[in-house]
Amino acid sequence: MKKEIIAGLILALLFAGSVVNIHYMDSLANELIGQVEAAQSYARAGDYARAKAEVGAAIDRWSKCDGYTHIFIRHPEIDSATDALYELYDSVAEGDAALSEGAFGKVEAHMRSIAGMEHITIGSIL
Amino acid sequence: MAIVFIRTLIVYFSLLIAMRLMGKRQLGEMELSEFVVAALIADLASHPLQDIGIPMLNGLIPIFTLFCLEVIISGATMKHIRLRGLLYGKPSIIISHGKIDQNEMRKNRFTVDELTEELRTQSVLDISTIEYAVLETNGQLNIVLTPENRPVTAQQMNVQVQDTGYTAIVVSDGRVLDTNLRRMGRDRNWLAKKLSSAGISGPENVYLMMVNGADQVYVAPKEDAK
Repeated sequence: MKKEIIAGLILALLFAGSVVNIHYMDSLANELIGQVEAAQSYARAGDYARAKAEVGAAIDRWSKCDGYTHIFIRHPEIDSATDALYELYDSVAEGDAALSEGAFGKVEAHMRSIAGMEHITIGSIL
Repeated sequence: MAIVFIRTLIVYFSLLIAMRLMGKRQLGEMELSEFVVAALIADLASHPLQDIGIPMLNGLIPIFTLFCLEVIISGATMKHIRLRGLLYGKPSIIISHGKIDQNEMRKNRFTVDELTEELRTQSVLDISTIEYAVLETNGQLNIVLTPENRPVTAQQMNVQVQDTGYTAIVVSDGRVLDTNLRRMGRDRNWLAKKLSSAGISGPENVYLMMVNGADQVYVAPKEDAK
């Protein structure tokens, strides 16, 4: 019986860990999307210096989570998101309005995809 | 390359621990749920090894989830007979008093060829000599012969037979197994005497040495030591 209880506890722990991971990924993605949206507002107002600083802060935040994300997310997904962030940084640094609009959308889509793939939905399960 | 190496070590030891904790049955005759777990684990474990882009946890979490489920299910089936029947099925009597139950054969999708092959494997050529043939839940066919066809026992023949007790290996490939020696109530002095009487200088020259409860000894010297 002890074995079964331990197995049940491990299962409960794994499920709890999954729920914590979903919340963590959600909050990380929302935080980064918030920073990217703020940068987008600055860029639309023509303040590319503040937009660049905001995107730089988002890159720092993303890089700090590297250890965690590499354990829980498929590595190609992380690389794509990192590439999208640096692409955005370059286009904002160049002050290219047309290019940066697309790059903002790309980063947002990546972050939503990373957070979304962990959500427990019929779509993600099937 | 180093990542694949380290991942292989982690997966190997994780599998080893999981299979060990699932019990010895997993290694031999498997029930349906055990077979499902074994097949799934083998496949799941290989993915993070082949693709280092997949997090290690993606391979380990399913292994431990399956292991936990298997422990819970096997524990529950030990306590609840109905659940056991539901998950593993029930043994089917395929042959009763020399007559094949064709309905049971169909139900179990057991063909005549499979039945005859299984009977031949167990050296049974005449179905009329079978009292019962039971298809167990692990897929094994167990045969009970009619009383007149069962092997005769010493008791039936009123023959006195010597109880030789347990047979233990005491020397394996030149290595003395002290635990087995002690279990058989013997020591190294006894071993030296037995080897000396067999014309062998020491245990390092023995390939296999066994002793049973009746003090009967089997010694196979190492071929290169002759």
